[in-house]
Amino acid sequence: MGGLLDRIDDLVLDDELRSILDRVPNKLNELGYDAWGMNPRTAVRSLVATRFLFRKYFRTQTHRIENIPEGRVLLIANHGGQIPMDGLVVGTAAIIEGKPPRIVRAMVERWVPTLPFVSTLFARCGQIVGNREDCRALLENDEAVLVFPEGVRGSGKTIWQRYELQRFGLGFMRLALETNTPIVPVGVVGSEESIPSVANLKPLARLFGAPYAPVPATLPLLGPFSMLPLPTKFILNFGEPMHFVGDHDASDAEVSDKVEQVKEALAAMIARGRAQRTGIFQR
Amino acid sequence: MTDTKKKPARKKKAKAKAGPRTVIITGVCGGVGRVLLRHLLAHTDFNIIGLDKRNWVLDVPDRFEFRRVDLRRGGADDVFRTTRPWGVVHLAFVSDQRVPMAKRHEINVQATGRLLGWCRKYKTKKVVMLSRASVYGARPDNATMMSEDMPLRLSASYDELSDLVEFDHLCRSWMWEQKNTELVLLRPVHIVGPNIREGMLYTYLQRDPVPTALGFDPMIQLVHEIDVIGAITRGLESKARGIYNVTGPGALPLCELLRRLGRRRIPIPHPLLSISDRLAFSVGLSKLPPHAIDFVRFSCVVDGARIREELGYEPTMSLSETIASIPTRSAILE
Repeated sequence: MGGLLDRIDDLVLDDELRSILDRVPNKLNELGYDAWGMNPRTAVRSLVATRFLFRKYFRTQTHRIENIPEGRVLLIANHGGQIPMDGLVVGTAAIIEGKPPRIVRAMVERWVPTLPFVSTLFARCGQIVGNREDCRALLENDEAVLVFPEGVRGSGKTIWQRYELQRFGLGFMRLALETNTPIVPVGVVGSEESIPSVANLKPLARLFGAPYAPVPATLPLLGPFSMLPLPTKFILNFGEPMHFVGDHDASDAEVSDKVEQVKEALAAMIARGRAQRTGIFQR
Repeated sequence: MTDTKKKPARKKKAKAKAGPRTVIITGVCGGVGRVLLRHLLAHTDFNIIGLDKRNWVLDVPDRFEFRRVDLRRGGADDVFRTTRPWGVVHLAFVSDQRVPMAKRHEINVQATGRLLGWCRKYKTKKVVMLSRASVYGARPDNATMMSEDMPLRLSASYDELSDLVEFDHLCRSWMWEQKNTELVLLRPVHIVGPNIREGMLYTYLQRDPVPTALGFDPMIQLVHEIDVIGAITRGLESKARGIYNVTGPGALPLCELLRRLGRRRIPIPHPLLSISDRLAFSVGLSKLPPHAIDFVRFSCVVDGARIREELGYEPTMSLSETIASIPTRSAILE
């Protein structure tokens, strides 16, 4: 088995991916895993697929990625587009263009660990089930953690609400204050048109226990394939690291003020990205 | 020793014996018990009294006395009465799920309760209890870094395991009630080593080929028997009281462990694995309890930071050494 994987590595890992593997700064045990099950080798192998989506399919442009500082950092991004292509693109950007390459730890839905294969792949690539304890432990381990404070309120947005930031959760700010972590806002442009949804059928969502039930505009044309993302142009803008100090156990009102500052900075990054774009499907 | 109350009485006892402190090890015939005994005799000046309902078949070294008693019946209280132990390490525990529930409850919960009663009555200074990290349960919504404060959810889906959780709760509530005794409750991850011939992981690894759940590869934490002994010794010697997870040198995926052990694997879709295991266990074909399916699907990874910070415990064995210490299948068959 080990021999077979080595042979696959010889085939798929080119110089770029090998150099990434040599430079990731994560703290690992002697067998190359961390407690969450992340293994940089597998994470880099998966880049063969995500790099294609990042470069060829979404033709992603990144700006000021050097704003990601060394050590612990919280990446705060806008969420949209029904399926989390934004997470995939930000994660791919941080690992193939980050200096040094960073394996971004995103928080996945709670049902992911119950899925065969997906659970294993996600864990090896560094994705974890969202909860405060693990997020704190990861930051204390000097990892880069990606949070979408809009949550499902963001990903279920319709096309009419695109790039309108929904209400932010406060948890990320309390963690940043507690662990003294800088925040980098990441404006993602392109994701929110990749599956244009014209309506959110809430009764249907409730019926299936799903967080939302989108109706893609392309449904009459593409049928079930309308739930695959369209090849929109992705533009990522990384903002200056923001440092906050204060009591992490302060009242919601006080924490809210700080969250508003992040929200404003993120809105500015999104506006910049939309101005840089000449068309949704620009080359 | 800094006993506050009843100091004269204890002093008299200690002087009458004019010697080092006495420590009782229950379940001394088990794997951990034998290794602990050897370690304490070599590295401390404790006098050791070993209790077990099984017979001691090895040589009896100096400073060791074996008493064949069953904690559920008479005799054990007299050992406490006559020896007035300074410390107790309680290892008499049945984890084999084929033992009927009622009997497991009698041994793991009721006998533990009686033992704690004697500790109170005869003013034992130090008690070390061995629970297990699996009491947190292997569940999809688990945090990965489970601290000692997390709820114990093992019995939430498996009634038949309530004795393990009840044991843990019993020790915990006793710890807060008895201010004169320092109770240390340890929750080690899977214990492995040349002397360990019991427990869920050991039973699981005896299968050939080893069944895994198709598409699942949870993280497994191992700790070497020597490191568990180190944690118990630190628990005995420190002034601490509290609950501590005991972790080894790191976590690794289950399939990686099987690969490194050179075991053949057979991945089976988990619904099928669950049904066949339940069936095989209920008719006595398999020793692997039904709840083991959760541990081959979901991670149960605990955070071992507290014992490192408060007791200064560090695992001495590396991950490869720990894995290499697991007896091979041919060694087991011999």
